[in-house]
Amino acid sequence: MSGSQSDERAAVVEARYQMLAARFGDRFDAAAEEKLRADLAKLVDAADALRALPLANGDEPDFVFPPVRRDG
Amino acid sequence: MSTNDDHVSFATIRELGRMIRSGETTPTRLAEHFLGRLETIGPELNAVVTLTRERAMREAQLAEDELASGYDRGPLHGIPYGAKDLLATAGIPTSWGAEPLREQIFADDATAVKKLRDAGAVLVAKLAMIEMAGGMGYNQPVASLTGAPRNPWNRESWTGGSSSGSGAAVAAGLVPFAIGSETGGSILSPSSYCGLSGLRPSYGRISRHGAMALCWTLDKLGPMCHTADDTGIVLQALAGYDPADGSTLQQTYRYEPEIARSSGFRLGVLRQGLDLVQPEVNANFEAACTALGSVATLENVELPDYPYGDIYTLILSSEGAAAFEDLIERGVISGLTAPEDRLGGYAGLTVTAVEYLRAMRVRRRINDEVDALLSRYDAIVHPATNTVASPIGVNFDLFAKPWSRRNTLTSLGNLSGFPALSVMSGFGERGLPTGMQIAGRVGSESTLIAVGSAYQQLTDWHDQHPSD
Repeated sequence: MSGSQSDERAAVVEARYQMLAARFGDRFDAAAEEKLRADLAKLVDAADALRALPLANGDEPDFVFPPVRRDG
Repeated sequence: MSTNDDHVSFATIRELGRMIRSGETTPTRLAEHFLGRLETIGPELNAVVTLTRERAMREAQLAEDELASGYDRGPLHGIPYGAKDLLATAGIPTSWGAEPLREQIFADDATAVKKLRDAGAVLVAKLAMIEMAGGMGYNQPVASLTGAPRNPWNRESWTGGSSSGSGAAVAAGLVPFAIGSETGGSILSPSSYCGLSGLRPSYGRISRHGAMALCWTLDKLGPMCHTADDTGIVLQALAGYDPADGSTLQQTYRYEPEIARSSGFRLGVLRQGLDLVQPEVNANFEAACTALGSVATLENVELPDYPYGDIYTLILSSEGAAAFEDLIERGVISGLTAPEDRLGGYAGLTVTAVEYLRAMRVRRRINDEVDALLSRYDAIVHPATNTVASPIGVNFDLFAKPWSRRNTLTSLGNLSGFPALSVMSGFGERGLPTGMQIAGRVGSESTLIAVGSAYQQLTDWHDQHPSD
């Protein structure tokens, strides 16, 4: 990972942590903060790994939206 | 009881059914027998949340009366079983393994429990599980309101999870069969660690209505038994479309062992990743392949190259956070047993919709490729777990080094929704079982069971049982 990529990753992790802290910060001590940042980093890394896989516009997600019509 | 107690404790469903119909035993005597073992041995293993004595004796008496009158509901009639404590049971607590939810009660039975009741099976216990089915990210065995689940083969080791009590109870002869669930390994791992035959069916094969949801697109229910054949009997009773669970398959399922093959199988052998598997697990797997060689042709296969772990992590984290959003928001998870579980749900709240959808788009590609691969074989075989069960008190990541904690075929199987059967393949360190998984295309459960049954005709691992 280059320096700029590393900075970007750190910034994304920090932004997500701040989102959690804004909502639940009174629940987190220092150890919790460290664990949460580690958990967030894993998810950020996972998302980055998937962004590296090329997908086309036609690649649909693996679920089907079932429109409903109930007669009677 | 006129028969040897050990024989009854570890008898298969078929054998118990024969004993009932021959008059050697009765449903009420069986219920008393297994309730007695659950009462005495269950707490030693931390395997039981709630004994359902009153319901059990009522169901057992009904089964007895029906059979006496000539009304035979089938092979599960009068057979006791345990249900993982994420399955709703009317008026009886359903804790999800979580201390804050110890007294949670639902008004109705889950569909799976109703189907077993309709089949005449007798519910004797709600069985222990890892809290929230492991979805909060536990990393050591003390992660349940019932304490660390103890492996009947070595009580200083855990059972695997999250269907921990189901694994312990069947392995220790406390119930003839149990219902577990799997999102990312929770049937296969306790089945492998406890020496059982455990079936993770195709996604949608068994209704999840009334079962705790961890991850809607990954969760499945399945039977954990002494033999592959028994898993087929239970699956037939449980399978079927349920309008209350829109993910259930429209196709019916019939278990017909009398017309199943016992040889001539074409098996793919997945040897990728075996360098990250414990040596004894590996050796037992190779021995199993040698045994299967007498009933199958085997050829090496390789899986498509995708970051299965990353895809699984994103889907599980986000769906899990959504499923438990209320509990996370209200801070209920702060009362969970494992310290890491008290914080485990928060990160998933930050996964973006686009990230989740990307994971689901890659998943669609994987599923198409994997089905093409699986279609070339009756089944693919691989170790069910990469190691034997770890000692209680040891962090999983620490125990797994230098091997890998994650089993690629299990991750892929759960992502793609294809079924897998775990069967015991031998013993490893500390006297603990090892397991082999037999995986196949969506809808191929009967073929997997046929391969498993053929293997169990060639070996006797499934006949081995721990002592009390």
